[in-house]
Amino acid sequence: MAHYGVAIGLALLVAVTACALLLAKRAAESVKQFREEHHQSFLGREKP
Amino acid sequence: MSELKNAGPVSGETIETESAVVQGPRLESDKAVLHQFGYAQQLLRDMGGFSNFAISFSIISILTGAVTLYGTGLNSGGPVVMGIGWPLVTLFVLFIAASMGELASAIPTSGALYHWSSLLGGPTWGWLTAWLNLIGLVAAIAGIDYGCATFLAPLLKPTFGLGAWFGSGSEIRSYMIVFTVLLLSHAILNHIGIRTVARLNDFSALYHIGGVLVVVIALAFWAPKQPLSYLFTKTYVSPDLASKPFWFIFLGGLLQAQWTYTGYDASAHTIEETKDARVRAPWGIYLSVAISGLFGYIMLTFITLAIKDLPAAAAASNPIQYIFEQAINPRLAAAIIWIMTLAQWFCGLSCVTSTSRMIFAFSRDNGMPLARVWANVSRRYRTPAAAVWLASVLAFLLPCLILAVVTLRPKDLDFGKLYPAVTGISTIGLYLSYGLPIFLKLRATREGVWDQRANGPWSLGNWSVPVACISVLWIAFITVLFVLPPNALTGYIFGGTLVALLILYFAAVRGRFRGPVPQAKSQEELLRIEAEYEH
Repeated sequence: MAHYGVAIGLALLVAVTACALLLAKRAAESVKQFREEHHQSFLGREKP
Repeated sequence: MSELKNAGPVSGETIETESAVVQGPRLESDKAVLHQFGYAQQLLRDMGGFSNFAISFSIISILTGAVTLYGTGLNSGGPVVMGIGWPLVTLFVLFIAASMGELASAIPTSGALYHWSSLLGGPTWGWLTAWLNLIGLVAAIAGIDYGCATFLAPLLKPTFGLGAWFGSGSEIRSYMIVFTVLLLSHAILNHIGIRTVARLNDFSALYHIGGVLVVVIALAFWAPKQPLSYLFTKTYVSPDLASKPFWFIFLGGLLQAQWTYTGYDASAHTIEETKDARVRAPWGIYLSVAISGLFGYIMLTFITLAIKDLPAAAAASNPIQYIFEQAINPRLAAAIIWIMTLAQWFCGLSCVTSTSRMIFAFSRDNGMPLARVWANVSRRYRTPAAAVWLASVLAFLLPCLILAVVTLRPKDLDFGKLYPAVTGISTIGLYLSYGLPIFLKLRATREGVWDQRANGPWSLGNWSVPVACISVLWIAFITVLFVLPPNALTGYIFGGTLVALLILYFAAVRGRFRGPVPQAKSQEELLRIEAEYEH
């Protein structure tokens, strides 16, 4: 029983970490793509 | 004016916040984006990405929520609530934070949730969202500062010999005195200036991480430790809850984590004070949750593994203090309680900032009685000073109201049982206000009113809809969960508040409230308003 508890707990931790990183990666890609598409930062500077 | 076309509620037409932003260099800056919504740059835009993250991280404050409600978790499931409950809640809150981040990036105004709902669903939805948010935030200030007072008052008595001043026999009196002083300190600092508060928030974020490290190091080196399996397998239910199924009690114990994860909408409320706001504010929302999740879990793991006597710790009036006193040197334990108390003070400071910005934005749109007063910005400090004081006074009145109710019916109610209901009200109020705009965005997407062009730079793309669906379902679930017995009192108080809101709506708001109101009809007017604050 104790083994199941530990396995569930560790699986949950892996799932949370994976979801957190995937969502962050997705958002970061979106920001990068946005900046590339518009060739300007939000502060008005031209992209080099 | 084309710049103002997105201001106000949108119905039946595609929402085009994005396309307008990138039309030309003139509209590139944060100020220009704000102009599109019809608002002048009145508040000082001085916050960087770290400051924006720091304010949400400080309000989430793992050294506040996870600590003050540790006993709730321990009595409602035991160590598994920390080991399994915390990451479970973290998972769903990450989805909610990501959905909110998308909205903040698309609609970057201080009104945040309220503006999102108004634009997506109309003024009535906006009005409801604003009040739910306001109720949640005011209850959060009261909960944080009163919680801080319950830690601070016992520390002050022996340290500064204030026992006689507080009076004897009544803990509530000393708590209320300290609570009032704490609120005053937060109001004054928020009045004085965003720069001071931003610096304190920056420090607070580092302080929280440092505080957790002190806790972890102290327990890792000097406390005896339970095996790791204790965290995932050991259960405990307090005797008064033993008649109910364990799974139900365990779910109720999730309030500890869910209450901790509140207030991260602060990054959106301070968005008009943040540079490069449409990218930095969404990251502030998301990262504050993610980093709180990580450090909160590490802290709870070490505290829980240091428990020597589980039933005694669960029964203690302050379980955290009991665990530390049992596990390590009493002086070190006292130092750690001081560290936690100061963290709670920082948390309250940030929460007043966030609430005042929400009041400011809602009043700017005539959403509150005496709106002109609360929308006033101090010309000297460029802070919404009246809103700061209103937030503080309302937070002061909440425990006073509860105290009055308890005094009137001492046989039926006691303050100790009634006050934790405040945390439930705060959680439900805030999460409903988070959930409504996410739900309305889903509806707008399904109806074709919202599409990818409406998104800001911070977007989840085609993951947006499934993530939003999970967010809404989780919020609906916890809303029901936290009003069921043994949290029925939360349900009664929150239900009563909703009835009062309904009466207010039909008596004074219906047909009169028009949602977000542009401050000017042309950019020239907006520039003129801004010029008044430049000198």
